[in-house]
Amino acid sequence: MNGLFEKIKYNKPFKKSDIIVIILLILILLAVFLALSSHRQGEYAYIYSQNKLIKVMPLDTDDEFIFNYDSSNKNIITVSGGKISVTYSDCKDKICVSHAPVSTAGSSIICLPHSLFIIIRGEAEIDAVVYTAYE
Amino acid sequence: MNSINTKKMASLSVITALALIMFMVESFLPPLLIFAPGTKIGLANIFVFLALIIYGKKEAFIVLIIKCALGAVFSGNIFSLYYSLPAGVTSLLLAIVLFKFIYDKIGIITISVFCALLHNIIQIIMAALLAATPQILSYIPLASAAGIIAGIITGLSIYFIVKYLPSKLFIF
Repeated sequence: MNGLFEKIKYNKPFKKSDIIVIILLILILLAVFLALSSHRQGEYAYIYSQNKLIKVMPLDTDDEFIFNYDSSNKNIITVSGGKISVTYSDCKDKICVSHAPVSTAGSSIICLPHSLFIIIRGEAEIDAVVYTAYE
Repeated sequence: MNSINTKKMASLSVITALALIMFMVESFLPPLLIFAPGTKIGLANIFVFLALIIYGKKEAFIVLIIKCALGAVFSGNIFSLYYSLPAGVTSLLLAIVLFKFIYDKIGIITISVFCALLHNIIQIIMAALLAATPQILSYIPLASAAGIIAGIITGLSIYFIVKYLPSKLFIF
């Protein structure tokens, strides 16, 4: 773009305004994190696929749930010691498996290739949802 | 300006190749935020920026689209195009607008940070749309944090590349 190369070459990489803007952005993000963060131990893990609730797992009992994405692809979701994790997945990126086990309310694990979403909730919302488990 | 001559074509090919090499190298690096798998610095985007700075909009779009297409082929994951293309195109458009209107007031780092932020947010939105799982949107704060760090790193890299590489290499 016209003259941009020279401008960048001879200008400073950041001015005062950059530092202000970046610090502002970081402060906004910190505020969002503080507002959302919670260290409350969660009680239930809600497992969604394609935005449909498929299973609710209580975190206080060790258990295992096999989620069949389709006939040949699955995830194994394990509750152990009050924490939930994905212990096996045959998806491509394995991001869900490498995710550390979660237990605090609001934290989540995701498996994009299988449209799988696991979120921890604190309150016992279990009465309010239709409990449909495909097992 | 509007025609692509041979030297420029060769130079653009080298930039695209560098972008792809960085894309491949990056796939071996640990995530940018260790606790958040999948977050990346986006080293390949340095070269899309470079094409924009050295040559212009059209050339930057060429590098971006080839980078996304071949990146999807090399990583063996064609579906990654659904994320990388919308995110790449919108952030490149943002970069063009920011360079045009507010580059006098802010530096390259901030522009890079804004683009990385938009890039990550668009990727999250695409993921939420494609997986039909709106809960994915709750990853936006984390993706934004990664975006700010990534933007600072890529912005500084672009600055040092432009500052220390002799302009003879690119400008004929």
